[in-house]
Parts: sequence; structure tokens; C-alpha cells
Amino acid sequence: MSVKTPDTKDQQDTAYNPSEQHYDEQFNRDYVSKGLKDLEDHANSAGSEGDDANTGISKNIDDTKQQEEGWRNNFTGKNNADSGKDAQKGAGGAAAAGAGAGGMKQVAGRMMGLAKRQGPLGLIIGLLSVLGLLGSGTFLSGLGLINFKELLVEKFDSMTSVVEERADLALGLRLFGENPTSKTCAVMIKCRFKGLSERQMQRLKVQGAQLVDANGKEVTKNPITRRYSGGQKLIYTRQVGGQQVKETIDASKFKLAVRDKSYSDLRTLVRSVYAPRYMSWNDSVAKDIRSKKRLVSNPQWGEEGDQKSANKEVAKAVAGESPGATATENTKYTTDEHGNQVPVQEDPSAQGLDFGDDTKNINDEKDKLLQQAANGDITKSLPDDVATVATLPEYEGKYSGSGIKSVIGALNPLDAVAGLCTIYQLANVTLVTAKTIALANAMRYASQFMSTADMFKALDGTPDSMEKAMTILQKENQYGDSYGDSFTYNYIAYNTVTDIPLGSSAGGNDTIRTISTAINTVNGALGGKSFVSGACNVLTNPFVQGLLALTSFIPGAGQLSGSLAKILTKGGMDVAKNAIKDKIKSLIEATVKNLTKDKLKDAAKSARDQLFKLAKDPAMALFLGGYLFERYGVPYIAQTLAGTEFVGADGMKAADGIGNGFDATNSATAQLRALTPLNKEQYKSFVGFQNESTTRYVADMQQETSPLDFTSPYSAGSRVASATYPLLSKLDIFSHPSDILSLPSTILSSLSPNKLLSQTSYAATTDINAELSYCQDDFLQQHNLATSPYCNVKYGFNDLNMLNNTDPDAVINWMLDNKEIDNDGNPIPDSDFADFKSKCVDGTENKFISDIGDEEQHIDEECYGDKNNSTNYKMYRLYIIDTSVADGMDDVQNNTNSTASAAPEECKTMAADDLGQIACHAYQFDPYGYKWGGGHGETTAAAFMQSFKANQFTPGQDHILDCSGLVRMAIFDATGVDIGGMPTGGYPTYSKFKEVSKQEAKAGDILWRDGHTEIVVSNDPNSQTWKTFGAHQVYSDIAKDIGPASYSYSGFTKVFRFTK
Amino acid sequence: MNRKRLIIIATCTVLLVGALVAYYFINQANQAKQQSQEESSIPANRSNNELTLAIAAQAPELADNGQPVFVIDSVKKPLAGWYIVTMYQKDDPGKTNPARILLQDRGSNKGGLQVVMGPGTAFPDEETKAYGIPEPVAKELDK
Repeated sequence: MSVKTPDTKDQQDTAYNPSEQHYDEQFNRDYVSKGLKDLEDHANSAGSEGDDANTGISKNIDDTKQQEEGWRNNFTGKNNADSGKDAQKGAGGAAAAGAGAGGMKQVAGRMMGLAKRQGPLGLIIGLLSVLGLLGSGTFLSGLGLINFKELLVEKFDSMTSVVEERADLALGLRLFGENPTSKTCAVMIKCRFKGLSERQMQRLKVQGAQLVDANGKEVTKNPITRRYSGGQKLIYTRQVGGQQVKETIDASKFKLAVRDKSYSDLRTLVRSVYAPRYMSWNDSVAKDIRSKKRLVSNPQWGEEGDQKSANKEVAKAVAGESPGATATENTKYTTDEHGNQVPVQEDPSAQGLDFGDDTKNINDEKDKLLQQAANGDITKSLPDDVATVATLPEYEGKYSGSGIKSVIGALNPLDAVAGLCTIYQLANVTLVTAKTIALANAMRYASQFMSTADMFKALDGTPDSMEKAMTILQKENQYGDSYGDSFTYNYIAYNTVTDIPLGSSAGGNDTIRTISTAINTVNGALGGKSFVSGACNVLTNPFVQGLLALTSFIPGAGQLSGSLAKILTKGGMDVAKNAIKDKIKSLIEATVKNLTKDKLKDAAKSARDQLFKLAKDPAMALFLGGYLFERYGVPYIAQTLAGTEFVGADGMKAADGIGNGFDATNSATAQLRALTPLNKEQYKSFVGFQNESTTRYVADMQQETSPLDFTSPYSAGSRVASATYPLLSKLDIFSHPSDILSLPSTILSSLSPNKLLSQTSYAATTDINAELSYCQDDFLQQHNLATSPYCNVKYGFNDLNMLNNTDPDAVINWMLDNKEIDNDGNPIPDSDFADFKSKCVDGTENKFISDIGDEEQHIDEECYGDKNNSTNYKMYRLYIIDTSVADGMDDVQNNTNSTASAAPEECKTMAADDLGQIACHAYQFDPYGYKWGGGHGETTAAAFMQSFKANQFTPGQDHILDCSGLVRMAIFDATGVDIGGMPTGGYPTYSKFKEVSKQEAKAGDILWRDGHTEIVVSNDPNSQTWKTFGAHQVYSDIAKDIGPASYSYSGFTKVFRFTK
Repeated sequence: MNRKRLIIIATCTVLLVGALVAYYFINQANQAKQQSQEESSIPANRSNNELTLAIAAQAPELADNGQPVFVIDSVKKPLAGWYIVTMYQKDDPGKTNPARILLQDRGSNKGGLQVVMGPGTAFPDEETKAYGIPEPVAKELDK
């Protein structure tokens, strides 16, 4: 199967539509129904723009709601009959769209049937057909995959308005910036804002756009920086009344036009020019995030060979057996004495993650607990006499006084039930843990596909990468079910879970359905009356155990759990909390730092033992349940959707929730890169869904369980226990003894099906406002800084007018003038900015409220900028935001982070002297073709270069130089010396060429043999090879005519060094 | 009856098998003959005139109004069917480096002499490999 990349305008437009639509919505309120003229007038009104701009971030809440409404409609197919655009929104969305489009119902039905019969490929084919009928033109195969990611990205976009605002300004500089005054672009940080890279210009051209100067002539590339240095006008194609017209946007109008809804084509165009950093696959930050997520960048899916082996390879990779590497490398790491990760020798006998006799321990524990329950040992028989009870060690000193003693009588039976709660809580926590682990597993798989989508978004996707993703979706197990149909085969490969093929068919490459199917599988294996056995069995699954450790990295969860813990903090809970946190932390650390099998095994065993031990204490189990819920909160959202399709309003919310999970990564990036995470309203919506779905799930499970099945958390007996103990925990009976009196009625009311378990481990999470109030402090609110459940405010920006209107160029000039940064954009040592960056940005000091603890409730005021000169600090923060935006705009090619300089990569390593510049200047001829005799004849070097710089030659089209012609022009352009039109035969006797040894050769030296010459780029005496640049020969691909090459020392006879 | 049937079936079977065997051998012979004819369609050597005409026709930058602007200096044939032609410019000998151009003789049925790479003065490994040039040819080409 071959899958096309989005290499046409239509396809790219399609791929970008969701974001573009979001953008339109984002600014709709500000600018809708206004023409460009109006906008200009609007801008010219004093202060008016600032007013509008002030609506920017605050409108995100409404925007998000509107988005969600749109998504909901999209998923439910309510609002797409008239919109081909909507119909393009994802496979699920498209399917639903078809279903909702009246006459398209039949088509959608056929499509889904096709998907069931033929798997994802069928669905794709079906989608192609449907979209063809809709007249939507070409369709990107796998669009559903990408568009699902788009949905998530949109969510993220709503959180990144800070960057969006600045991106418009910075992009304007890129398109219309001044020409760098120095051809060597001395102030590199300014150069980064002035001009498009070749790749960006290429994208513009692909979209049919043209950047021209004041005379209407196409702007040219600076030969040294290899950037197009900015123009005066942008000519592009715009849809007006159904007609395509050429529109010209002047530099002065760009900023307003790009925000105008009626100029959506322009917005689409400019979004295609640069890829936001978080979506740039090869970006260093993105790589780091992926590494932390332990995504498998290159799993062996789709490889030929034994299916089971292939499955195992993928499974092992997902489990993190070879984290940070491809599944084929199987590299293990350990920590050396310096704390560095180093690869270790693989134990050849190791197969998967074998936890040895741990299985026996778990089973022993399970049997012991069951036996204790059967014997009644686990429930204490308390004396009927209240006074006697009060003297028991566990109550002595605590329950005294007549009032309490009278209450204890009421508590007596309760305590017995609470004893049962021990096993219940243990089992409950186990169940929750196991399920969330399994769900995290499913999500990790899904994330692989998201990664593929990310690659496409970053324009780094290839047909091969998409094909691999599609192939794994279609890979069949022995039952004929593909991954797209079932999640089970991963377990089948390990023979640890009943290999029940699922009857339901997933919607092809619609990843959401895959997750949903996985949820069904997990519930089938774990749910119901045999949950203890099932849960324990799953816990002994090494694959799951690996995931236990490896799925602990949901960014932000630590802060959430911290908030939760704050609420729960009551006396002894601190002990439990810290103990559990320590254990989980140790597990995480062991996983991160010591990735050997044995260490992971030991850490996991230790942590699990501790968890089991702790879970025996109901109070601790309560916390543990809550902790795990929060820690794995996002996967649990998916869990609660067991048996439920991701459709309708709930489905939309679920997707939204999952989006939060996946894009927690992006949120982490955001936190790193001057973005603002979820705001209060977004978070409340998120948690609200958690609670709703939890209640619904619990109600479903309760109906399946025998009322007297105390081994099930869903039985009526267990519900009584679970309903009462948390209440005891929550109520402060020492401060408010009267609360005890309400217990019986509370218990009774709790027996209503929908209120029982939802008030147990998860009770505290319902108190959203309390949690938020903990996270928000008055100081932050007073200063209108970003607040969030993550409590990360360090990058919030409180002056929206300044954010929207301060020219990035002015910020840089200010930073340069005030000697805060050097020409490369780095902080000048000992400057105020260096101090600010160190304290508030680089994380060298913990300035944000990341954990519980009263002492950390306030971040350092200094980081807000209100302490000294607020303008200074605002400029610092704007600068940080702008440079992160510029990072996103800079193309990242060839797996390198090219954000540091716009000059050719090779030039960075070359000396600033004549020699280095000869080599560097040679690169300007890279895009041109070879011409035998080019650069010779009667033409002087000066005349030739004048023509060249006047753009009389067309890159990629014109053949201009031969080998010695290239050497001549490079020397002339770098040094001003014309060596003349001699062929290479004259080199050995030319006075300005001095022969040096081959080992001495360095960048800029001239390699010579009879009949050919090249310029040295680098020399490796060890391997006796040079990297060179030269004009070679006419080739079918003009890009190869003039360009880099490699030669061994034997390839040339002599080396000459130019001297003036 | 049965015996007659058996004889008929056996006869048919023998005839069928015989026909198949005969077809196989005839087919093999035809293929060998065809291959031989094709091979024989590739001349052992091409004249400089033939090479000049082929180059001028296929490399427009080396012709002016159909007339070649180059003169062949030498021809090497590192492998059967492969020609490395070294040439210099007709009007300014000595002012530019001699260039090389690679041609492959694919036989009259497949286009005859074809320019594969060049003209040029260097043929780095990366480029010859990308174009699938046989190693002996590539080595000779980039000398």
C-alpha cells in the first residue's frame, strides 16, 4: 500500500484546515465582518487595537467552548451537511459526518462496512470515495489519523495564544523584514527574524505565493545567510466569491489581514510557511519530549517476517525495553559512576521482562488475603460494649468523652464493614492500577500513531512512515483481527491474557476506536467478579509491569496529585502520602536512570510490595487510589468509557480529555516555551467530565455484581464499606463532632447506585474549586497572571496590549541596546537578563508551585517583573517568547537543530579568514547546475558575480559554472581577487596558489588533479578523506550538479592554498 | 470397455505430456535465439562519429544548430557497451578542462547509444552509485 504525502496545495490545505479554522474562530470576535479597510481604520484609532487585543487570551475560554461544540457536532454529524470542510475532520468525524448528512448515510454505512471487511485500508478507500462524492478534491490518505491529532492540537492551540500572537508579529518580520545590512549577518539574533529560509520560501511557492520587492520583482536569497531577506508585498491566491484571484498584501497591512477572518486563505498560507515548534518532528525540544514520553520513533511495525516476533518487537519497544532507541537496537542502559547513562551488555537469556518469582509472591498474597477473608480474620469482631471498644488500643486516647462513646456504638458495625474494606480497598486499588496501566498501554500505542501524525504535521512525514503506521493497523492476528480491529494480539503474543478475539471492528485508522476496543478488552479481562484474580494476573504480566513504570510520566500529574494531596492532608495521611509518593518516585527514578532489566525488576517489585502493604490500610488505600487516579487520570478517562463509543457529547469530551493526556506533552513544552497551560475553566470542564464518566462507569459495573460479593468493589456490601470509610476520613470529627450524627443518613443516601464508589477514592477530586483555590493564590490573581491547576505561572504574561503590539524587532533592539544579549541572542554574562533567565526560566531555581507545601505557595515575585523595573522584566519575557517562536519558525532539517544560525551549516565551522570564506561562499552556487566552460571565457569574475547577484540566473534551472569556474568565483566573492579564467592546468604554476600537504588541507583549500578541482570543506586525516564542494557534471537532477562530495586522498594529486 | 478407456486416457495423457515437453523445448530455443539476436544487435564497438552524433543529439548544450561544439579526444570502454568519451571544446581548446561524458550502448532495440552522465570533470561516488553505474565504469569515469 502506498500513501501519498500532502504534497499538493489541496492536500496541505486539508491538513491544515482544523488549525486554520481554530484560528479563524480565535479572531472572529475581534475582526469578523470587518474589511481590511475597516481594520486599518480600527488600528489607527488610538488605543483601539489594544482594547481588542485584550480580548485575546481571555476569549480562549469561549473559543474552546465553541471549538468543543464544533467538535461535538463533527463527531455526531449534526452540522456537516453543508460543509465539506467539516467532513474532512478525521476518520471518525468523517464517518459521523457522512452519517449525519442525510443523503450520505448510505455512503457512510458502506464505508464502515468496507472498513469492517477490509480494515483500515478499506476505510481509507471508503473515505476517498465519500470525499470524492463531496467534491472535496484530493484527500490525504490517513487523514483521519492526522485530523485526530489536529483535534488535539487545536486544544493545545487554544492554550498557546501567547505564542500565536507573537507568531504573527514575528512572521511579519520574516516576510517583510529589512535586508540584513551585513552580508555576514553580524547580528544573528536579528537575522533570525528577517527573512525566510529556503524551505519556507519553497513552501510559499508551492502554495502559489510570491514575495516581491517594491518594484514587483521576486525577492532573492542572500547567498551567505541563504535566507530570502524580506519583501514589500506578498502575492497569493485568494478565494473571493468562489473565484480564485491574485491578492497582494502590503507589508503594512499584513498584520491586520492575517487576523481577518475574511482573509482565511492568507492565514492558511502563512501557517504553511512555518511549522510551530511543538509540531516540528526533528526539533530538539520535541525530541526531548518524545523521549520522555518514550514514544517509539521507529518501531518495527510493518516489517516483514514472523508476525509474533514483530509484535513482540513493538511490544517491547512500547514497554520501553529499549527506550530512546528503536525497537531493533535493544539497547539497555545503566548508570555509571558519573551518573551518565551508558549501554550495558544484554543478557542473551533475557526474554521480555521476566520478574521471576514475583509472580509467586503476588499469588501468595492473593491467596493469603482470600483465605483471611474466608476465615473472617480480616474483619475484626468488636465487642458490643461501647465502653470496652473505647479502651481498645486503636481507639485509646482518641475516642474519649461521653459524646464520642455514644457515637462509637453506632460505629461498631461500621468498623466491621470497614474491615472488609481493607480487602476491598486493596482489590480496588489493584483494579484501578491494573486498568489504568492497561489503558495507558493502549494510549501509548495510540501515541505511536499520533507520532506519525506529528511527523506529517511537521512536514517530515513520508509515505513510508505513514505506510508503516497503516500496516500495523492492518496486521492480522490468528483470528484475522488486525490491530485496527483489536488490541488483544499484543497480549496474545505473550500468552498471558485470554486470547479472546473481539467481535467489534474498529473504525480503521480511527485511533479512538482502537482505544475504545482496548478498553473493552481490559474490562473483559479484569472486570466483574473475578477481579482480584484478574487484576493480580494482569499485574504479573511483565508487559504490564513494564508499563507500570513507564507510564508514570504524564506531565503535570505531579502537580495535580500535589493539589489533591493538599486537600487530603489530614494528620496521618501525610505519612501515607509521602510513603506512597516516595515509592512511586523511586520506581520512576529507577526506570529513568537505571534501565536495566534487573534494576527495573527490583524497583518494580519493591514498589509493588510497598503498594500492596500500604493498600491494606484503608486510609492509605484511599489516598493511594486517589493518587493513582490522578497520576493516571487521563487514561482513566478512557477506561470509564468502556463499552461506549466515542461519539456524541460524551465522546467529544472524552476525546478532549484524551487530548489533554496526549498534549500534556505539549503542555510541558508550553511550560518550557512561554505558553500558558490549561486555564481554570478548561480544567474545570476537564475534571467535570472525569467525575461524570466515573459515575457512569461505576453504575454500569454495579449492575453486574452480586450484592454480597465483597471481593468486588462494585457489590452493595463493598459499596457500604467504601461509602462510609471515606466519609469518616473526610469529616473532621474532632473539629465537628456533630458531623458524625449525619453519617447514617449519609450512608443511606450513598446507597443510591450513582453515588457510591464515586465518593470513595475519587471523592476529593470532585472538589474542583477547592483544588483550584489551592492552586491559585491572591497574589497571582491580583496581577492577572496565568493560573492553572498546574500552578505554573512562571511564564505568564500580564500585559496583553504589550504582548500583542510590541514589535519583536523592537524587543531585540531593546535587548541589544541595553546589553542584555549578544549578537547571537545569548544573555550577556552578569546582565540582568542573564540573572532573570537563570532564576525564572532555566529552572535552576524552583520558582513555581509544583508541589504541596505551604512554603512553596508563592513563587518569587522577581520572576513576575513587578519588583524592580517592570518594563525590563516584560521585555525579558517577551524576548523569551519571541525566541521560542523564532525557534518554531526556523526550519529543522536533516535531524539538526538549525535555530542558531541562518547561514549554511558548513559555514558555521569555517574560519572567518579568507580560506574559510572561500568555502563558505562556494555554497551559494549549490542550487545551480554545471556548465562545461562556465565561469571562463571573456567574462570577468566581477561581471559574472554582478549578474549572479542581480538574479540573472534561476536556481534549480540554470547551469552556470564548471569546476574551475566555481573555484574562481568563490575566491573572488570571498576575497575580491580574480584568479582569471584559466583551466585547472594552470593551477600548479599560479603564483597565488601554494601547495600544502594533503594532511594540512583545510576548509577553503583547493584540491587539484589533472582536469578537475574541488574546494575543501573539511579534512579527516585519520580516514584520509575530504569533504568537498565542487562543480561536477551535468546530472539528471540539477541539485547534484554543483554541491558537496566526498573524496579520499587518492582522488586528487595536489592541494593548493590561496594566498593574496 | 474399461481397457479401451484406459488406452484412450493413457494415449491422451502421453500426447498431452509430450506436447507440453515439446512446447517447453521449443520455447527455450526461441528465447535463446531471441537473446542471441538482441546481443548481436549491439555492435562490438562504436565509431567516434557514431558517438559524436549520439552526444550532440542528446546533450543540447554540446551542440549548436545540431553541430557538435566539441571534439572527441579519446574513448574508453571499461565494460562492454559502456563508453567514456573525453572531449574538448572545439573553439577554445586549452581554455577549459577536457570533459567526460558516459554513454551506454543498449542495442538497437532499446535506443542504441544513450548518454548516461556528463558532460563533466568529476563523477563522485555518491552520484555514480545513485545512478547505478557499474563499479569498473565509475572508477574509470572519476579518474
